[in-house]
Amino acid sequence: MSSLNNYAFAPDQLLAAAAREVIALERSRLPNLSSLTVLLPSLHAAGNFGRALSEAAGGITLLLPRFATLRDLAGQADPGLARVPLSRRQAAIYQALRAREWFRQGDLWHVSAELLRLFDEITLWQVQLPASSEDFLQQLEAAYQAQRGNPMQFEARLVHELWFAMSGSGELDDAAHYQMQLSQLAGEAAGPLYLVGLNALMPVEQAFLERYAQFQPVHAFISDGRQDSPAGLAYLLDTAWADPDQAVPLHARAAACLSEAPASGLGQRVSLFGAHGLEHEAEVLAFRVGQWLAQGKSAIAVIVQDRLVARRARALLERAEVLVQDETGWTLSTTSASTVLMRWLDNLDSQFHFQDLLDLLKSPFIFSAWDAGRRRNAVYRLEQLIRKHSVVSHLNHYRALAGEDEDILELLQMLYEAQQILDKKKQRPLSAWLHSLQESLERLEIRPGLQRDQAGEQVLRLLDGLLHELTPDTTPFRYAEWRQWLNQQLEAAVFRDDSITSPVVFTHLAACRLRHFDAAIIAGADATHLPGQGRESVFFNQAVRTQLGLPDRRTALASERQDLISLLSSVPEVWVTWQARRNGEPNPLSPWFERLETFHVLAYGLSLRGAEAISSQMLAAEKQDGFAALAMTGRPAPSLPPALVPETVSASGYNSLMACPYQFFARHALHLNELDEVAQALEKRDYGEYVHDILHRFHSRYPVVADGEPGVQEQALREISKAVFDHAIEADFVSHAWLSRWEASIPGYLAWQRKRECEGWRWLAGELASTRQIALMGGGSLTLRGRLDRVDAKGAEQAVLDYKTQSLDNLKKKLKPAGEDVQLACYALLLETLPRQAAFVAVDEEVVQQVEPVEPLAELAEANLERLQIMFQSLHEGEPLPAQGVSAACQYCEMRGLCRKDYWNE
Amino acid sequence: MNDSFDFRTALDPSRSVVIEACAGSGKTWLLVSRILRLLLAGAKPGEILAITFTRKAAQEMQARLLEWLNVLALRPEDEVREFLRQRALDAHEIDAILPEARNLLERVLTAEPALTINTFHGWFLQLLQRAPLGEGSVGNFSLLDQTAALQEEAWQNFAEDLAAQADGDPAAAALQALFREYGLANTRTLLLGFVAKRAEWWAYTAGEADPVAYAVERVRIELDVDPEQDVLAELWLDTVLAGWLVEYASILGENSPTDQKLAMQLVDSLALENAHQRFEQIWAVCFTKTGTPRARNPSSTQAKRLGADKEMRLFEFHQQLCFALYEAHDRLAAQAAYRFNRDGLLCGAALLAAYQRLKEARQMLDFADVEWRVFQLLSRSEDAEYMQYKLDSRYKHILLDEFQDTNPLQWQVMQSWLSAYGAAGNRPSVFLVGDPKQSIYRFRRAEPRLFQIAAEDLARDFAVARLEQDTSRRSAPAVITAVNRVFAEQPDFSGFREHACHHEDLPGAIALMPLAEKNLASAGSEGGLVLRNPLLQPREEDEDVRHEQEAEQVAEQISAMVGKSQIMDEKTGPRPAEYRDFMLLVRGRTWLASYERKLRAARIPYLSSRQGGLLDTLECSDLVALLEFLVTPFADLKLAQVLRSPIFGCSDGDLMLLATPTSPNLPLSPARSVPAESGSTAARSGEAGEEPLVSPLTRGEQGGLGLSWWQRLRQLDGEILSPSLQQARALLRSWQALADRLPVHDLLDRIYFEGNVLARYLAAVPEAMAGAVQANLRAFIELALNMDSGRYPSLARFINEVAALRRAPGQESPDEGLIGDGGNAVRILTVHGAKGLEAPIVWLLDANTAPRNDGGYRVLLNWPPQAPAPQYFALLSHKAELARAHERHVNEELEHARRENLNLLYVAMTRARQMFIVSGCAGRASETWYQHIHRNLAEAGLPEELPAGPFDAPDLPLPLVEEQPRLLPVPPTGRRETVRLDAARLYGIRVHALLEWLRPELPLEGQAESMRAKLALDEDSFAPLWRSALDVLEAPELRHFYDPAQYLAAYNELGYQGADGELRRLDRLVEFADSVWVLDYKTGASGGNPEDLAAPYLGQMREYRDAMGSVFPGKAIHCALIFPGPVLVEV
Ligand code: SF4
Repeated sequence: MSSLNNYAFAPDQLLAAAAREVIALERSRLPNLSSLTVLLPSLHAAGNFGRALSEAAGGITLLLPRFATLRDLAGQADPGLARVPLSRRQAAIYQALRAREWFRQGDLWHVSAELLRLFDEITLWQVQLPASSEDFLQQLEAAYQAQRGNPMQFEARLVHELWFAMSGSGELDDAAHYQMQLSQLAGEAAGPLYLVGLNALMPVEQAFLERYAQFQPVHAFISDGRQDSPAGLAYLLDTAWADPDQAVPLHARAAACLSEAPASGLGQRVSLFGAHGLEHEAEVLAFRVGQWLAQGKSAIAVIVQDRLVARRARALLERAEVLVQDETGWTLSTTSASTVLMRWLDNLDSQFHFQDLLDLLKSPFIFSAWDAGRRRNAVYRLEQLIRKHSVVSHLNHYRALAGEDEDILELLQMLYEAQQILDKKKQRPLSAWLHSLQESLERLEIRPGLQRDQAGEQVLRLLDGLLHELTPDTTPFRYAEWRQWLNQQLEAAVFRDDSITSPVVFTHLAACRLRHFDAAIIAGADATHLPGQGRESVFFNQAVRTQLGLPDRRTALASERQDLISLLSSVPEVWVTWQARRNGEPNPLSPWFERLETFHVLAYGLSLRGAEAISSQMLAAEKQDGFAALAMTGRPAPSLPPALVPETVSASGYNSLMACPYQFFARHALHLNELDEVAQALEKRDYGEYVHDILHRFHSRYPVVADGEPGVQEQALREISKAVFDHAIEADFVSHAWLSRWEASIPGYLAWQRKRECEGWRWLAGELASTRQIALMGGGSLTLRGRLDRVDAKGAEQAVLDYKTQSLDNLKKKLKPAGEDVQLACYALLLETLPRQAAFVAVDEEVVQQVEPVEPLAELAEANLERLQIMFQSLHEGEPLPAQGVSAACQYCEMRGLCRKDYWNE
Repeated sequence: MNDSFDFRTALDPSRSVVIEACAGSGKTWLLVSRILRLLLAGAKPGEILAITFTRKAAQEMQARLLEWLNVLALRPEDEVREFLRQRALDAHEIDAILPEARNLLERVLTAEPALTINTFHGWFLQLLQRAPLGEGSVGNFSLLDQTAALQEEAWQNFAEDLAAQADGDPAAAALQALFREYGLANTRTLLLGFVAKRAEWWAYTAGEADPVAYAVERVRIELDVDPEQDVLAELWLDTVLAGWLVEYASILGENSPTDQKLAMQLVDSLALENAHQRFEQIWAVCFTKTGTPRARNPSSTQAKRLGADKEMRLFEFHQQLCFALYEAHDRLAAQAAYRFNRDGLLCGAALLAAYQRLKEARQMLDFADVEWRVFQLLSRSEDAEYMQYKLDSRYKHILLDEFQDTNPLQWQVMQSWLSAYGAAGNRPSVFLVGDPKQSIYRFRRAEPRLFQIAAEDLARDFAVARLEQDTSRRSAPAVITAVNRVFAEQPDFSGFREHACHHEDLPGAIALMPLAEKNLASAGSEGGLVLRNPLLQPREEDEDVRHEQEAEQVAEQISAMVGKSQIMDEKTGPRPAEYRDFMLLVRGRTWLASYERKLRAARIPYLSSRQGGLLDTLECSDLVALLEFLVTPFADLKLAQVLRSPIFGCSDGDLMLLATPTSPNLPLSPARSVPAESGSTAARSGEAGEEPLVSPLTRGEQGGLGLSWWQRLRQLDGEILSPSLQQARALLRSWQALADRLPVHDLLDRIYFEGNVLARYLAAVPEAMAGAVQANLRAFIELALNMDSGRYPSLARFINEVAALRRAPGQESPDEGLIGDGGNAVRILTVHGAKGLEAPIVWLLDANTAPRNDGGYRVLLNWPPQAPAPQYFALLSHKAELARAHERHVNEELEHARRENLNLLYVAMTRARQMFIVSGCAGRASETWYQHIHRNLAEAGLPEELPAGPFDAPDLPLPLVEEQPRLLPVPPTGRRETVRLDAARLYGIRVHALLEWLRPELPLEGQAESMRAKLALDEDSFAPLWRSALDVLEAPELRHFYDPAQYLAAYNELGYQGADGELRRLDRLVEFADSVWVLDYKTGASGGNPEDLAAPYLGQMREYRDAMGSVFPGKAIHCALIFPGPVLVEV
């Protein structure tokens, strides 16, 4: 009969001490230790332990024991019973919840995942649920120290009923399978078993050891700071982090520590660094790692408590050509590979909303058989069409745009076919959904694209695996349920970039056990991230979990404490960084280190904080690239080369020149414009155009309104208005509002028109495009052009009118300063003979009125003409175009990024 | 220490206390001291719940607590005793608790569950996460902190739903009616306003089967209106009235010419068919345009004209008619208000439903949902009880800070929570601090009146002590005296008690700067028409320039004070003023740009934490333009902006180069590609990854330039490009290649690095902005990092998100970057933003304008603080007559607004430690802060100017510049295995695995299936592997290596530690009685000469042989390679 032997050593001595013990115990087998099995927290430690063994054996060649983790070891046993994969169990629980109509509005996937987690814990911690639900309820009452009420009864019933339903099915889940494997292994125990550094075993594992020990000797070596010499670091840490409930008060412990070890080595080892923001922390981290590398350190761990900092720091390190081996990984859902998948499904949901569509088509993963240039070509052409015609969604609308463009048509066709594959209406098993998804990916040639990408390959592997696992499950699911499920799968899977090998490793605290590092940084060590929060179960609370025998927070804290002691006592240099301020708010340091700091100050009068100040200059170390601070803080005033002086100017171009010469420069000399935006709803600008259109159509049919039956014409105008708005209203219900707005002006408009006719004016023409050549001094010429909304005639006299949907007051304001708004003057110039009248008509008001410039029209037109000549002549001579808009002009000016007004130093 | 305040009671752990404490009196000090005292009295940290208004305040409290716990643990004993004495413990008590106090830090840090200091929202979330499992309340929801974009989407869904409805749909009809009457913009404002008040709406209509019908009916009752009544028909049917009208007209016809005209009008209108038109016309006869009855006064001429009798009758008729018309008018207004509410509430509720559906589909909750759910949860007593035991924390002490900012729903939640404790003996202690004078969050639904109500409730149930603390520990006497003068005895500012001053010797001042005057309009040009030539003469701002003048005054004064005025620093004693000592306060952000411009011109560094302003800054706009260009390379304007930005610093000349048409013989076919770099052979047409060169649809009309700027930039001869353009071309190309694949944050990081972005902006922006620009650039990259935890890897998505954020209202879009410690800059803040902050010198800007009133389309709400739900909920328009129907409520609102306006001023003034300066622009408004302060100071005879001559402070030595330690160059580190596992290697690895796992002593066929499963392969890929493995295991000549009967022992994948310290692995080792065989599997090459095959492995095999020789002394060691076939080659 063998036995279970436990040993404890100081963490920094554990490997060597355990190796000595093994050699001592197994001296008879030397040098062949291959029949032993050594269990380690991770295989990272195997190399070190091998060396330690060889050293302990006096440097001879050794056949090494088998090194394994407990999970690996268990994996070698095959209990011969089928294991139900997690995905299928989740589907089963989902089904069970659905059948009971529990959580009708809740997220059943979430509940079922939570239940699975709980059930695994119940198995692994060997918790016995009472067979009777009443007994269980009583157990909960006692644990909660409260009377049962409906909510508690429901919680009890939910857990109890489903646990028995699931575990009674006779199928093996992962946890139960593991349990079977372990017990099988114990039964087959063939050689001695050693455990090194496995401090926290789960009850099933503990049970396995005990059973194994009945057949073969088992020796377990764990780390324990108390085993250190009282002058040692681990001892100090263990004292500092003593359990406050039982231990001696802080001051007494500190005093005792000082008397045992008059000096502390901790100050040289551990530095606490509080950064003043995320960027700062990342910079410090990258700086520290860089300097360590420069000093020749060859194994550096960054223990990532805060993912954002790590991600930021990784980018900074990569700048310095330091690659990082990231063992922590990212959830698969954050990779661009899984995005393409999601975007494809988004397209199905949004009827190919143009943003989703373009986003999908611009992905490098799609249509991988095409040459990338060809795909982009086609996509950009499609995008321009979409922008130009404001098409928002639906494949057939896009198809109508494409015309003869074969590439675009082909793209759209493939999308169409892929869409047909995924019929959203049916209810189908998860595997059937997955299967269709795969087919559609095939059709879109996404699959080969993904295969070329690391994360993409993992996505595909995940889908394949799930499809395989779920094939036996025939529960039907709605499309939405499946999609939610798929999101969750991508969310739960972790992507690790394993193509990088580097001495700099980003990892978890627990993954550092028994590994060797020259230096380490614990990043993000604030109170929110350390102790790690873990995911709290929605079931029960900590006290109840303790009562039931489930793992609780204390369990987690104890093992975190152990890991920290090991790390700090065995790594020669450790930096602990956190954001002392975050978003401008104070952000406390992790309680572990707050305690350690206080303890250290008390015992030794030495603070661990900021042992080495890192100045901002050191971090900045900015590249000097000879970039002279160009005169970027002044107003620009470019002069045009003759080739760029516009030969034509429109009324609005002239207006822009008046508002701000630089704006004119950008718009009309550089020809820069905002791209068309796809309008999803009618806007004020469209409204203006509609009104113009309506009035033109109306007057083309009814040049004169006075003679007709008033009702008839109003009716006609209303009908035309409806017809013009029809399309917009169909696309967007809200367009009704614009139509209503216009309809409110109709009577006013007709009244104004009648009044005008009374004055003798008759509608003559509308939408009249016209140009006029203007001779410039020096021989050049300039073409003035414009489109006149309307020309009226009274005998030989003419009037030019411009419909405006702005308010009357606004128009009056526009015309007040002489010559600032040039539109009417230009229109006057564009008629062959100078008209008698030029006016804005405020058609968007209840009472429609016209406004004219105060100055005599002839004089105004003449002055404007002259000014135009002078200005263009001087432009040809190189007169600069200064940026000098007034605030009102700048407010909505799209050239603000070019003139850079916001940075002017004046 | 001011001894008038009863610290003993306030901090007594056994008492419940309500404290009304003035600004700057140290509320945080009190609250954290109270927590300390509770802990010292034995409370467990998990038994304490402290709730304050903002996250920042909560974090600061936490920090303060830790700091003090450190004091207790670390400082010398007499210092600790003094510290405790200040917290109202006497020497006796201190003796008793001292050891405990010394140990307290550790107790708090290790407490499980921990002490809770949180906001209401944060705490509610905590509750919800632990909420009982049940209908609808469980789920993996995420918190939606930006609601604007989703509400926009809801608006679209709402419209789509209506479009899909049949014509008869009531909501569609209602929406159309609203559009007709009020227009699109107002309707939207109204309905979104409704959605913003959803919690109140839910509370108001809780338990109603048809909430809208209920609410509409309440409006009907309130307005006392019969919607069906045809008011005008009844009016015109009234024969008496008809008689009056005729007679009235006839008398008017005899009166003055004006009245004769009115008489005509009246006669005309009586003939009108349309009842409405008739009413309007007649109304115009009797009433003036402003809606008041026309004045009709007796006069002798009139009496002469009409005769005394008729004149009397005229007055009588006028009065009667006015009365009757007014009545009708009122009715009509009420009817209109009713219809407005009926339609508005219906649509509002429909929009809200669309919004709620959207969130549900995405599994999101916003804060209003959280609050409402918690409210519902706790109002069910069974669930409330459950929450009490479900939480690990069992609160025995509840502390509420900034109570004046609590809203009625929150207070009710708290009440439910308190009542769930049951019997009196179990009740917690309650500590409540606040200051109704500082209530400025009505727009966030805070209800200052709750303070009194809560105090009274608590007095009844918790026997609280009520205390008042009116001593400022912050401000100088000069400031406090002014505060006392300005606020004492104000009818609108009830509840003010004169403040006392803790720092009696702190020098200080209060000053009103002269108001900026409007400059006279420049004289118009005389004589003939002379038009401005814009090239030579900028247009004059026709805008109000008073603010510019005011800003200039501010800038001058600040420059004069910096380095001169003396600041009494609490830590370092007197020192000269720095920029950071100034805090400029504004009520709203309208004129911020003017102030900033002037500060910039005066080279005064400033930080304007413009709420939501990050994305509007030029630097962020540059970056967004760059990203947009990368996804949409034909966006010329974006490219132009990027080129002009400091990233490349291109000149206008560079832009002109790109805009100049090239040789006309350049073909314009859409499919043509042009080499990216002339002369370079690397980029050929059609090369993968190049994008299209021609955009056939752009600018057809604009001069026939067929190419986009980007295409032209790539095509132009490198020699004619400026260095800036060359650099732009190279960098943009490389970024474009990355844009597809890198997550946004990593892409931006590359851009920042390769473009040396931070340094270049630093060099290119005005000094005064440098700090802020740097901070913003950092904030932008942080935004990319943070956005939905990096879940938007596609660039286009990110750009959309940013655009949505930019459109979002101020509170929701990201704030400008916060500068790390050490920025020495003037701070510009809104008064709201300054709450909880202080500064030595506070300057209130633009103080001479009247507050904007809340007019417009909105929800009208009456929720008396003591009521469990709103008493009234209706909609208001900006139309005066609709508002009149609700006059009573509107007036009440106005009253609250007036009070809050004064509260805001109180908050502003009490931010100042030493100096409070006010400036503004001359204007017509009389009820302004400026006037208010001026009046009261003048009455009290207090000075209103800065004391003559600045305080001269001694020159201080300049701080030494630290010497920089030498930095070591960082070596390139790590490598990326770009070669993926090729098929051959993968095959090899798998065959090795099979040979390792298979147990040759058992039947092999039976193991096939489990092996396949283990490798996770399908049949087809597995078959050849299986074949290879069997080839080896079943080969007769190798049989003895796999038959346990023939060997002593065999090992697969055996590790050994060589004497040289290296660890190696053997594929298989087989030990026989007299020999040992080391087998090494090779899956690659086969065939050919065995010796050649084995040649590369000889060294390795020798190594094995030597090592095994020492392990198995006395046995012959054979090493062999097994090649496919199998071919055994012994070496
Ligand atoms: S922003 Fe103003 S100054 Fe700049 S170009 Fe536009 S109008 Fe001119």
